[in-house]
Amino acid sequence: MYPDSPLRLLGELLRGRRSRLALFGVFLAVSSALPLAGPLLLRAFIDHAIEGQPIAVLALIAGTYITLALARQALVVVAAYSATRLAWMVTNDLRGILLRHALELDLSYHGAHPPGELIERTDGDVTALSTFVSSFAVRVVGSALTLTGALVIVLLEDWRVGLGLAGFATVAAVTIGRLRTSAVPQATEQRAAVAGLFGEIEERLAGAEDLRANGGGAHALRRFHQATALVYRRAWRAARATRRIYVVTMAVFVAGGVLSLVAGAALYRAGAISLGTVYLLFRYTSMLREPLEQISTELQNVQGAVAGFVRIKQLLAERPSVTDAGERTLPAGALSVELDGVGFAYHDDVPVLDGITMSVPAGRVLGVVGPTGSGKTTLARLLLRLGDPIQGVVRIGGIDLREVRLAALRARIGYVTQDVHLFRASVRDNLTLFGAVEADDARLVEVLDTLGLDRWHRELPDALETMLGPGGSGMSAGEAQLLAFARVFLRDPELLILDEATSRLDPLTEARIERATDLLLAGRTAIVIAHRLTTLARADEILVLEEGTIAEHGARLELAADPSSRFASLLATNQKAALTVAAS
Amino acid sequence: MTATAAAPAHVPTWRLAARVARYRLGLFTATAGLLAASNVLILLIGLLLRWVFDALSGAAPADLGVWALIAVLMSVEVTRMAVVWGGVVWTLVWEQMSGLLRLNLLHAQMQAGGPGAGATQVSSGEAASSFRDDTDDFLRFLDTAVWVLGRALFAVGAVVSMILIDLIVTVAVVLPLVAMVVAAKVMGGRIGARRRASRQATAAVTEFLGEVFGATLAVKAAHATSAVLRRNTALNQQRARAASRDQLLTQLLEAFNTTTVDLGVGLVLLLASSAMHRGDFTVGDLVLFASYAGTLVELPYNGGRMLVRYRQAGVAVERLAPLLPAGSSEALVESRPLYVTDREAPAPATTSASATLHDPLEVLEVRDLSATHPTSGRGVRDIDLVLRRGSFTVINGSVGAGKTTLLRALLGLMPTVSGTVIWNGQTVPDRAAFMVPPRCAYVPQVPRLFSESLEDNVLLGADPRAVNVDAALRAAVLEADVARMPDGLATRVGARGVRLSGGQVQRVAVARAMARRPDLLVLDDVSSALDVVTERTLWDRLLTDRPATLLVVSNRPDTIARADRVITLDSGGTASPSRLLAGHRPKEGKCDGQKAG
Repeated sequence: MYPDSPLRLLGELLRGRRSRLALFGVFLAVSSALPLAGPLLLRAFIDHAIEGQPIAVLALIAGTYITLALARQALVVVAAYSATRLAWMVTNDLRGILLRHALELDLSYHGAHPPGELIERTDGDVTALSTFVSSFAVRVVGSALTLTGALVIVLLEDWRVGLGLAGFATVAAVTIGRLRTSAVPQATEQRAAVAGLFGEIEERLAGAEDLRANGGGAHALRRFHQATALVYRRAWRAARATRRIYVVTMAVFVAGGVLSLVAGAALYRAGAISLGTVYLLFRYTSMLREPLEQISTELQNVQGAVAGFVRIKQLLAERPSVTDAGERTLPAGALSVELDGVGFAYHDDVPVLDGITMSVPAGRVLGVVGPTGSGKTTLARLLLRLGDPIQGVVRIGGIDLREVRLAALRARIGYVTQDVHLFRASVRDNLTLFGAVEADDARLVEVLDTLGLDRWHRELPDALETMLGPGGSGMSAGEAQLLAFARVFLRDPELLILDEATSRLDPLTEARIERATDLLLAGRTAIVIAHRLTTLARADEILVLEEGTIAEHGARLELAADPSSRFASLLATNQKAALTVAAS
Repeated sequence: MTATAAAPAHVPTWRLAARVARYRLGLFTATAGLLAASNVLILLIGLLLRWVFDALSGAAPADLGVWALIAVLMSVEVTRMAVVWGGVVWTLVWEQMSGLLRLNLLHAQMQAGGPGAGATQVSSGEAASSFRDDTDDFLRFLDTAVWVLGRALFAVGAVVSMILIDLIVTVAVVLPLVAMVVAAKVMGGRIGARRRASRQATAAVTEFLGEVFGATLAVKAAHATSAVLRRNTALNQQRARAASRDQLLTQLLEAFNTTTVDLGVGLVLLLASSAMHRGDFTVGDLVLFASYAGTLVELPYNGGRMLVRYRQAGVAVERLAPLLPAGSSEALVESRPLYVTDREAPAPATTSASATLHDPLEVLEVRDLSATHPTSGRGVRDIDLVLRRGSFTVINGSVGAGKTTLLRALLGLMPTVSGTVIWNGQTVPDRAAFMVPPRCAYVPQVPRLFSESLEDNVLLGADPRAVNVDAALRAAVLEADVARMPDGLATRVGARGVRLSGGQVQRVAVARAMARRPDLLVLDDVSSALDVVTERTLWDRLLTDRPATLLVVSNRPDTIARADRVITLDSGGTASPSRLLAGHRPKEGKCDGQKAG
C-alpha cells in the first residue's frame, strides 16, 4: 500500500476524476483563446480610423471588443472555480493517504517529530500543493494556450516577423526554464526552518505552565531567538534567489518589447506593414509577457510546492518497523498469551528485554511487577505489536503476531495506561474515539454509570456533547482514568493490558474501579502491570521483571506464601508501610 | 492571576500597523522609496511609447527621432529593473516585523506573572496556528498598503496626463474603475465572512490533527485509526467547501480586474471614434490610454484588497489579544530587541535581583482560598493552610476533589475567586510572579519535557555553573537511569518526552524543580509512575534535603504516613479534618485546614 512517488500518486488520483478534468479543460481552452481577438480588433480600428472609415464602422469594432471581453471573463471565473474544486478533491484524497501513513509509523518517529511539524507535513505542505495545483492549472495551461495562439496568428500575418517572435519566445522560455529550479534548495531550507520554529513554539506553549512555574521562560525565549534567526537568514537567501529570477525574466521581456518596436518601425517605414500592424506586433509581444510572467510566477511557486513535495516524499519514504503483512485473525473467545525467547532493544542499544519465555493461559490474570525501566511497558507494547521482537516470537491465541492483521489484533486488545489523553472533542468522541466504537448514547451512559462517573456525567453542561480537553470541561486525573476505563469497557476486548492504570487514583476510587475491573476481567485474559501491590490482589500469577529478564514467575498465592520469594519481600515492604501508618 | 481590570481600550488597527512599521523605519522607508521610484518610471514609459507612435505616424514634431526615443525607453526600463531588484530588501523588513510580533506573543505567554503576562492558552495547537496565521494576516495589510501608496502616486500622474489630452475620454477610462471600487466594497463584506468560515474550517482540521498526533499511542492501541481517518476526511471536506466558496469570490474580484481594463479600452475606442475621425486624437494618444488603463486598474483592485486585508488584520489582532497581557493589543507591537544576526541573545541574568533580595520562607499562610475551574464549575472553597519551613504537608482526597486546582490556585496558574497568600507575614500581591524559583518550584501531574537535551530540560536556562545538576538528579533518583543512557545528560529527549518512560519523565521534572533549590517544592502526585522502591528512595532523598518545605498531593498511604500534616479535600472542594481514609489514621494533630461554617 506504500506509494513510491507522490507524482505517481497524484496522477492516479487525477485519473479517478477524469470527467471533471475534461470539462475544466474545455472552459480553459476557450477562455484562453478569446484574449487574442482584442489586438486584432484594435488593429482594425486603427487602420480603419487612419483610412477615414465612417464612425459607425469604428463603433461596431468597439462594441465587438467589449462583448468579447465580457464573455472571456465569465469563462475565466468558471474555469478557475472548477480547478479549485478539483484541486481540493484530489489533495483531500492525498491528505487522507498521508495521515494514514503517518499514523502507521513507529512511536519513535512520532517522538522525534513533534505534532506541530507533522501537521505541517501532512496538511500544510499539501495545502501549499493544492493552491499551487489549482493556480498552476489555470494560469500556466491557459497561458500556454494564449501564447501558442499569438504565435500562430503572427506567423500567418508575416512569416519573417512570426519567426522572429517565435525566436524571442523560445529565448524567453529557455531563460525561464534555466532559472526555474535555481531557488528550490533555498526554499526547502526556508520551509524546514519555519517548521522547526513552529514546532518549537508549540512545544513551549504546551509546556507554558511548567515553564512559568519553574522560571524557564527566559530560556524558551532564547531558543525562540535562535530559531527565528535561522528563519531570517534562510528567508533572505530564498528571497534573493527568487528576486534574481524575476529580474532576469523582466530583462528578457524589456528586450523583446524594444525589439518589436524597432522591427515594427523599420517595416512600417519600408511600407511593408500598416501602422495598426506595428501596434499589433507590439501588443502581441507585450501579450507574450503576461503568459510568460504568469508561468514564471507559478513556476516560482513550484519551488515552494516542490519543496513541500520533497518533504511529503520524505514522509512517504519513512517506513514503520512493523509491516502489516499478516492475513490471519485471532481465534474467537478468550485469548492466551505466549512469549517465546523474546528479546527487544531500542536502536540496538542495551536490550530492554532478554530471553523472556512465559505464557498466560486464556482467562487467567497475570500481574507484572518490577522496578521502573525493567521492561514492563515494553512488554505491553510488544503485545500490541507496536514493535516486533528482535529475538523470539510473541504469540496470542497461539498465533505469531507477525502473521496477524494489525487491525484484527488491536481490535481484540484493550490497553489502559495512566497517561490518559483527553481529546479536545465531545464526551462522546472521547469515549468512542471519534466513532471507532459503535455505541448509542444509552450504552455510553450505562458504561459511565457502571464506572462511577454517573455524578460527573449528570453535572455536565451539555451531556454527551460537552467538550472536554483544554478549554473544555475539566476532569481530574482520577476521573480521566475512569474515562480511559470506560473506553475499554465499550470496546469489550478479550485481552486486557493495564499499565499502571490505577496509580493516579485515591484508594476509595480505586476500590470502586476494582469492582468494575472484576467484571471486565471475568472470562478474559489480562496482564496487569502495577506498582501498587493492592492492585495485584486479583492476579492469578505473578511475573517479576528485573532489568529485562524474568526474576520470578509463579502462582500468586504460592509466591506470597513463600517467604524467600522476591514477591513476598515486596509484599512485606508494603505491609510494613501500612502497619507503620496504622500504629501512628 | 487576579481578576482583570476594565477591558482595554480598543486600539485602531492602523495605529498598531504604524508602530510595527516604525520598528525598522530605515529599511521600511527605503522599500517605500523604491516602490515610488518604480511607479514614476512606469509613467515615463507610457509617455515615451506615445511619443514613439506619434513620431512614426507623423503626428509628432519631426525633430524627435524614433530611434532616439526607443533608446531612451530602453534605458528607463533598465533603471526600472534595478529598482525592482533593490526592492528585495522588503523580505528583511517583513521577517523582522514578523519576528517582533511573535516575540511579543511568546514573551507574554512565557511570563510567570506581573503586567507582562498573558493568559495561558487552552490549546497549544490552536495557539501555535494563531502565531503563524494571524501574524501573517496582520502584516499582509502593511504589505498591500505600501504597494497601494506607490500605485496611487502613479495614478495621480496618469490621470493628470490623460486629462491634458482629452477630458471626456479620461472619464471613459476612469468610470469603470470607480464602478469597480463600488463592486469591491459590496463584495468585501462577503469575502470577509467567507474568509472567516474558511479559516475556522482550517483551524478545525489543524486542531484535530494536533490532537491526533499528540496521542498516537492512544489512537494506535485503541484501534481507532480508521475512525480518525473518517473524521479527518469529513473535516477536510468541510474545509474544501468553505475554501472553494472563499476562493470563488476572490476569483470573481480578480476577473473584474481584467474586465474593467477591457471595458475601459472599449469605451475609449467608442468615445474616441469621432475625435480620431477628426484627427484630434492620435494613435499615440490611444496607445498611452491603453497602456495607462492596464496599470491604473491595479489600483482599485489592490485598494479593495487593502481594505479587506485591513479588516482581516483587525480580526487577526482580536484573535491574538487573548494571548497578550490583559488582552491588550498594544503589547503585540511593543518594540523589543530581536536577535536575528549571529550575535546570540544575551544569556538571561542568572540570579536576578529577586534572588538576592528574596526572603527565605519561614511561614506561608493561605487564607480563604477559593478557585473554580472555568468550565466544569468545580473547585476548592475557603481553604486555609499554614506551611512552616521544613514541613512536609500532604493534600489528599477523592477523585475530582480539587487537589490539583488548589495547587494551581496557590501558584497563581489559574484565576481565583478569593483568597490571600501571605509569605512571612507579607501579603503576596501577584502570586504568579511571586511563586517561582528561587522561592517556589512546581512539578505538575503531567510534566512536559522539551525537544532538547536532558541536561537542558533540567536546567531550563539556568547557569550550569550555578546549578548542581548531579545533586538534582540524585534527589530525583535519576542518576542510575542517566548512567545507563549512552549519551547521558546530552540525550535528546523527544517531543513531550516520549522516549522516556512515564516514571522517568516525572523524575526529570522533579530534578528540574530541585535544580532551582527552591524554598517551597510543590509536587502534584509525582509517584504515580514509580514503583514502591523508587518512590521510597525519592521521598527519602527529598526529605533529607531539608530545609526545603514540601507541599505534595498524594493518595499513597506510604507518603501520607511520612507527612507532618495532612489536608483532606472532600468532593465539595473543602478541607475537612474529620474524614479519614479507610485503614489510615493520621498522626495526632495532623489534620488542618478546617474552616468553621
